[in-house]
Amino acid sequence: MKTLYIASSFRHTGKHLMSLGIMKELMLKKKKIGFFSPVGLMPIKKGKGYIDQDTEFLRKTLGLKEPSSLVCPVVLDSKLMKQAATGKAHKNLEKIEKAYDKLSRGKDIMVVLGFGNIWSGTCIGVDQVSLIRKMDAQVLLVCPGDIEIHDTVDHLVPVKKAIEKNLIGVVFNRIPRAHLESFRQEIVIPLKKRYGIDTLGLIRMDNQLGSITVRRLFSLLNARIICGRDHLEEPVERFAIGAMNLESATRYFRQIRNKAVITGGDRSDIQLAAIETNTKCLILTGKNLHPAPIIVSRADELGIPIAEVATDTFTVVDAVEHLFGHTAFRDEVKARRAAEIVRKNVNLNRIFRKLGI
Amino acid sequence: MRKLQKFFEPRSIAVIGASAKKGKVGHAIISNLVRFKFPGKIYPVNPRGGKMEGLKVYKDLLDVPGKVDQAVFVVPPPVILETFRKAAGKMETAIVISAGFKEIGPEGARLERELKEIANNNGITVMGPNCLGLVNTHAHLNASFGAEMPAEGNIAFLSQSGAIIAAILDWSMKEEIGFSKFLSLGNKMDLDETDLIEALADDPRTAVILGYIEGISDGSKFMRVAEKVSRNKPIIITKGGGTEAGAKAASSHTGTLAGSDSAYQAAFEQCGVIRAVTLEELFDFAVGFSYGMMPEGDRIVVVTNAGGPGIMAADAIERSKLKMASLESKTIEKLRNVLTPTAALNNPVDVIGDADAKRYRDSLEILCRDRNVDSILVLLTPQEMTEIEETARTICDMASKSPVPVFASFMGGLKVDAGRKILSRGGVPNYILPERAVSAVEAAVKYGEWLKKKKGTVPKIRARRAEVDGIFQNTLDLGLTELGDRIAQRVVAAYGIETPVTELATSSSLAARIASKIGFPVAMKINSPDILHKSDIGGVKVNIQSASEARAAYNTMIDNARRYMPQARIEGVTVQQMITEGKEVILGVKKDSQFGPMIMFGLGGIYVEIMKDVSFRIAPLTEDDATEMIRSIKAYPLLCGARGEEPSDIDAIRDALVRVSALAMDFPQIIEMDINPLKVMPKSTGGAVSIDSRITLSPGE
Repeated sequence: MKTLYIASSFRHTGKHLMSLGIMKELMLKKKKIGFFSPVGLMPIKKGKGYIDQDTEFLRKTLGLKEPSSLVCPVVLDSKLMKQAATGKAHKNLEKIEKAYDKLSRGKDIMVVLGFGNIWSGTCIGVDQVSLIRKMDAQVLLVCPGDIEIHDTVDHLVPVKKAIEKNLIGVVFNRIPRAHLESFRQEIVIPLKKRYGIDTLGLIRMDNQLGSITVRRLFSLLNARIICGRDHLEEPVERFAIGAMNLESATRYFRQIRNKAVITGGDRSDIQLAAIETNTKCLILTGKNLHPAPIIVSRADELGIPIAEVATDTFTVVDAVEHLFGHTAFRDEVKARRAAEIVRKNVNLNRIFRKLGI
Repeated sequence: MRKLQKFFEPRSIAVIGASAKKGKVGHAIISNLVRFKFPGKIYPVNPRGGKMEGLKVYKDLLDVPGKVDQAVFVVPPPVILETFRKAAGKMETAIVISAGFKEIGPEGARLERELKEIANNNGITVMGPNCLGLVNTHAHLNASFGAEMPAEGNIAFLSQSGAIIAAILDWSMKEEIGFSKFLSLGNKMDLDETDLIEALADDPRTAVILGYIEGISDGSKFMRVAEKVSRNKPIIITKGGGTEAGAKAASSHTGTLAGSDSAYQAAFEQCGVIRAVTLEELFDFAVGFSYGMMPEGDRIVVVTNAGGPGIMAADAIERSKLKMASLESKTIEKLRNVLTPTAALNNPVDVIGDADAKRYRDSLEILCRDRNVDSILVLLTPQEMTEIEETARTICDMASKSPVPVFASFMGGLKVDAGRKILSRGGVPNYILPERAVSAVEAAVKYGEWLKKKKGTVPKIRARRAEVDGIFQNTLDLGLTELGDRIAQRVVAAYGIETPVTELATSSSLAARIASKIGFPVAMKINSPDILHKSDIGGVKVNIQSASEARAAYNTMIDNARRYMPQARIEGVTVQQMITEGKEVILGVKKDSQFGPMIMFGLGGIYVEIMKDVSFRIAPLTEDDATEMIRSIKAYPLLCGARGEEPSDIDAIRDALVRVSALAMDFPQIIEMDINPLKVMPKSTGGAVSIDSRITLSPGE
């Protein structure tokens, strides 16, 4: 049996994406695969205990039969968090090893989804580097493609040092489209030559994959919907803040597609500029600042939802800033697209060869 | 063009929602129709039936005999919809006075959309909804809930605000100003300002079209129509929402995205529309035009019975586009014979405080024959010996005989009021203050100048369009919206604007080689799609004199860029032939949400950034447009060669402007563009070279 451990140098870099893509491909190859996620970071209540939401989605999408408690034995719920803070979390490693042994029986290959970044877990007694060694896993590292060159090196080299031969290579995700051309010259070749690190895939920024629906955005902000209820499933790719004068706003809004515009409820001029320039929804801030009815009419006519929140623009921006590109996909459409992106941009055959399957 | 005969002059009117109850809008409409003696058929419609104002009340529009020319609706929106659904065939045109449509929110907007669809499908012309109605004085038609009927006149007033109509109507009664039509636009569901302006162009009863608007539905349609109509009669418009605060208020009122104020200004100037900044100006100008006062030129003479007002008038004239006429010597001789020895015989002509009506008559008789005078402004202050009414009558008489237009200002209040009434009735435009008179004359003169302009054609430009298309496609495909200097310069060059020899260096030694090949001095600029303000980060160096300097400059620039913008992708450094000669001007494009691409011109450096000395025109530009743009900046004399300098090649600027305009018209995805600077050579050398440029695209257009 082989073990592929998918880890990342940063949180929210695309481990789910890689796991999904690789497992789908392995299924096509009719391999007996096991999926394992040692620690889940997104607890949701199920029955008496908690299960991990992200693992659960992958488990269901892939049609795996093993119970969630086995696939993801440790979930970072509030109890565990408290224990971690007081240094009382232990026995987790044991729990993980037990579940892993049970799950891996009779499998050709185990795909293990790491959590957080590769250094995460020590506080709850789960050191991922040790775990990798114990499992004798081959590690595929997912790295962000939108950070500076020296940062990339600074993050990769210590990982390489820690796990040495277990590292089969890296995949860069979310590379800005304009950087793609120079990426090979500036990063891929030096990494190989100087540090002996193989690059196994380059995935460019995909706005659609990083998008979230208007519905989810509104619900995360606890916003009160005013109009456009029929268009809540539209994907939002970016957000833009409308706090400048009308002319600058129009110019700025015209450059961004599929956006959510955040602006004051009293900025009717900005609201109109947003409505007329490829906007998926409007989030209006401020207590007792309601939009003019005629603007609501216009938005409704164009199918652009408007919602109000009672807080200020700053708070809303703070809340949404990390949403885009950082939410694990939880719908079928995105899952299909994710698998396709991995198939197209990652050298899967080489990964399989390195794994020996 | 829409045929609006039955709308303006209906022969039968049904009032749906007519009411016998005083204080209701449905009552105001029916009583206005009756009271002001509408000669056609009036059909009140109300489910209660019976009689009102001596007319039979019909229970349903379907019961009214035949098809009515006009149906006026003063019932709640659902009832209007119901009537339109079942009785669309019973009306030719409609005025929907009722509110409760898109201005109240999505529910109302849905009703408005349905109403529009039925109206369109049945060919019914609709004004409103949410409007005050229509008044046509000559047809004795008052289908509005305004309280009064204005006097007959030749001014048509259309307004996006019903309240302003109501106020103006009331004011016009006091001022005795006559109108041909009042038109309240409301939500502009069907008829908009452009439709009405187009229709009023053919209205023999209307000589002047006045408008109060907050937004234009379709900028290019407006310009096309207004340009045509302005050739026949003046259009004077006040645009509400010209400031940032005003625009914000307007946007929540009208729900349309306001274009920038400079775009409105440029559009109006180009199509001959006279812009009145305030409502006061709107009516001051209207009064002048309604009497048909069109001076032949800009030279004006002032006649006054007091020094102070004459000085104030002279100041106002000097500040305007008008000129103080310098009188012919024979005029001065003649004046000397009729005026007292203490009188001032030069412009302003002071007939002195004790002037009676005769002295005014004598002066006017002489002045109106002076060949250096294009118009006359008569000032009067109420003094001990002043014959206010007699002088007013004299001015009226002289004005009717004068070959040049006569304007007046009787300054004061109670005492001069009778005189002003005489002037108004006698067809002399008059104003309380001389400054207001001067701006009215100025508006007339500017309109006259516009009328004299020939309509030019937009020149065809030979350009490598496919190349530009490829560049834009590629940029947008990479997820970028800004074109850096090197790529933008390729676009500029593809449209036939000269650019300096430029090559990209990717190492310091290559930079030195290229520099030597081009010939010193050279300019070097950091080349990165991520760095737009190159000089801010030390990414520009000019006047490089040697290969070693070029090498050093390369390294410094790369270091600077890495230090200040570590994330930027640096492709190298461009080495450019230095253009040492010439004056710097700036050409720009800004896409306006109402009027499309707007071209900007100004002199480089402080003139644009600090003095804001720029001119704008809506594209496409004719050659004359471009020339005018260049001439209309304050710093224009600097281009003509101030202090013995050689004049710049203005034709080359004009050519570049026309080419930028063509580029902006060909590619709607351009939302902003700058050529900064364009270096203009002295006339003897000739030519203009784009040194640096920048283009911003929109992926959505």
